[in-house]
Amino acid sequence: MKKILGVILVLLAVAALWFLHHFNPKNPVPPSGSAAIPSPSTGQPGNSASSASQGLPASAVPAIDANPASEPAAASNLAARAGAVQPEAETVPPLDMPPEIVLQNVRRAITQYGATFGGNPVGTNPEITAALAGHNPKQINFISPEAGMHINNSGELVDTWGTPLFFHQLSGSDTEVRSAGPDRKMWTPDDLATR
Amino acid sequence: MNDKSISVLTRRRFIRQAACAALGTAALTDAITNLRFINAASAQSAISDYKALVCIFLSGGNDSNNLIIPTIQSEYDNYASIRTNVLAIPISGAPYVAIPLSPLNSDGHNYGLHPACPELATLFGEGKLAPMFNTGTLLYPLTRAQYKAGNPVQPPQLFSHSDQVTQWQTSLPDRPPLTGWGGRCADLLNSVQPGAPISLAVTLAGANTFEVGSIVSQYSVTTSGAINLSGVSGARLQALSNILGVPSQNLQVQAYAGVGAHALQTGGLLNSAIAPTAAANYWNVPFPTTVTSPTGGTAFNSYLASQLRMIARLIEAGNRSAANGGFGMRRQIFFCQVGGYDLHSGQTPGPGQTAVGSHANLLAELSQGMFAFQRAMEQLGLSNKVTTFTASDFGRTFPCNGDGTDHGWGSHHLVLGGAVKGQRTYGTFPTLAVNGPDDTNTGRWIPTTAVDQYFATLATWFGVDNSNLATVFPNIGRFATSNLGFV
Repeated sequence: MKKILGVILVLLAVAALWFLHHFNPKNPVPPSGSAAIPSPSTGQPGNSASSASQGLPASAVPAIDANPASEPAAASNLAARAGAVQPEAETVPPLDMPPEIVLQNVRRAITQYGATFGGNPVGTNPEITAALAGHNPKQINFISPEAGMHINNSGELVDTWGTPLFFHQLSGSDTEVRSAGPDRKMWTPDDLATR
Repeated sequence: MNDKSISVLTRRRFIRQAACAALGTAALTDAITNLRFINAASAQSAISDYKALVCIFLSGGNDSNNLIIPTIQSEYDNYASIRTNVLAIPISGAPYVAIPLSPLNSDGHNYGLHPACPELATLFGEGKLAPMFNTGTLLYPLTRAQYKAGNPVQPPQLFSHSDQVTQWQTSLPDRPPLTGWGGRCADLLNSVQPGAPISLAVTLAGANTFEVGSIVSQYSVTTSGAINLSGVSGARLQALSNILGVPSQNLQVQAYAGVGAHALQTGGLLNSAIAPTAAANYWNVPFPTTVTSPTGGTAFNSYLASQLRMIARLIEAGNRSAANGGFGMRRQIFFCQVGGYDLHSGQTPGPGQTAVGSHANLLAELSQGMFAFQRAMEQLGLSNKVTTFTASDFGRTFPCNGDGTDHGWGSHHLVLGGAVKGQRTYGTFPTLAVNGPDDTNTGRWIPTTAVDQYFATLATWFGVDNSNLATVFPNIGRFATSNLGFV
């Protein structure tokens, strides 16, 4: 019996070390392109108290604005989302990864978030991006630049062509992720979508 | 050793016992819920008159920012600049402009209706229609500062279609969706009509959460009536009925046969009862089969009008006494639904054509359908006995996204009927400003009226006693008033 307990304790210790290595909130993986992301302000309701409740310093929360109080930018982005071609300055570094795979990776990140927190992130692109990037109750970063997931200067996840993605929340576990495609105009025939 | 083997709880044994415990707990909870409704129902006041509630669900999230338009010039200028020429409805200088409303009350604003809705404007002027401003799912009253601070909590999964549909239809955002508020009303009031031949809750749009009750089951009807077995009538139908009536010792077979026989019997009864109103010209104001927006566009078939026509026929039959071939009911709840409101793109054809297109067509269909339905109720002499209301997933973002609008939160709704204290506006019109006092941050209005309040007002009119209101709307005590006074 003691041997079994010992084995369990060792396994638990290994699991804890693995978890700390991968999800240490004090060393969040900086999302690519996140250098110009606005500094944190008020948090997403329900999430904002998380750092305090877990005894973490405020600085432990990744520098992502979850409930973009950078609102003028968010509103203008909303207005400019469809039809308007994104400025060249927002273009992300070229990727070798096919755009469909990037979209699948974003969808996978959302699914993982949903599995972790009992529901997919909701809101605008900046709100969802912030939630995925670590502004969530466990400060988990679901965004991996290596998977082609890039964030623009407005805190939005963008597609291969630098256009902000559109997240259509169908249910708590089903989010359609849409890319404007090569013409960089949403709702045109070359759009890519996955759910 | 033997003692140990007896006392040790194996994994399998644990799972087995836990499952039994869970099942037992669930059954107990269900039983307690049913008992609560039975007790509440027995305490209900006696009811002898007829009343019906009709829910029109605008599926996808209606852009009510273009249903009701501010018309004071300064407010309109703000509206027009944010909505852009892709969405903003003109108030002057165009062939089709917002239809001005003249409410009896004044809240410091002036309003106009979408130009595709002249029939709704007529009903408003007649005092039979009232808008309920900025209504949405809430757990507690919520200001912008509180929303930002995350305290008190907000409903989960805002902006998600199915979650918000469920929350609107249950009026319980913070609980598992076991029953809808229409179903809970039906559970409570079912006892006022013992022996009713059909269910108190009828749906024209298939299974829905709104009418799910603990006791009452929703009865599904098509726009043509009860669903018949194809090719089974006359002697064949009689033979089938006889076969279903043969007793069986197998309880499952017996139950299955019972359900089948009941469905056949109820379907036949319903189709007979609605037969007198089958002719389309039965109604003084015909229900439209196709709709064309008065602002232009091409005609399209109206599923909503077909549903409302069948509801009118079922109300006629429901109110008619059993002696006269009707159902002789005292309370009925109906649910119908129309889709297409999720207009992320193609809401209008483009700049300068804001009064036509997809949203204009939807609003024209709503306007013409509700108008014909109200006239039908007047023809039946039941105008004061039937109240119709709209509901939707959520409102939509105030700024244009370039081609349409995205998921919002609070939205304006309509209540219609002779009992409605119409030609008045209810609730608080939001400040139409991005980052304004009613905005989350991108033109999504934080509701100033909870769906609980909206529906509790309707339920009170429908006959739910004040003492039972908290049974139907457990969160109602969190809000300032349970009766908004519009009916």
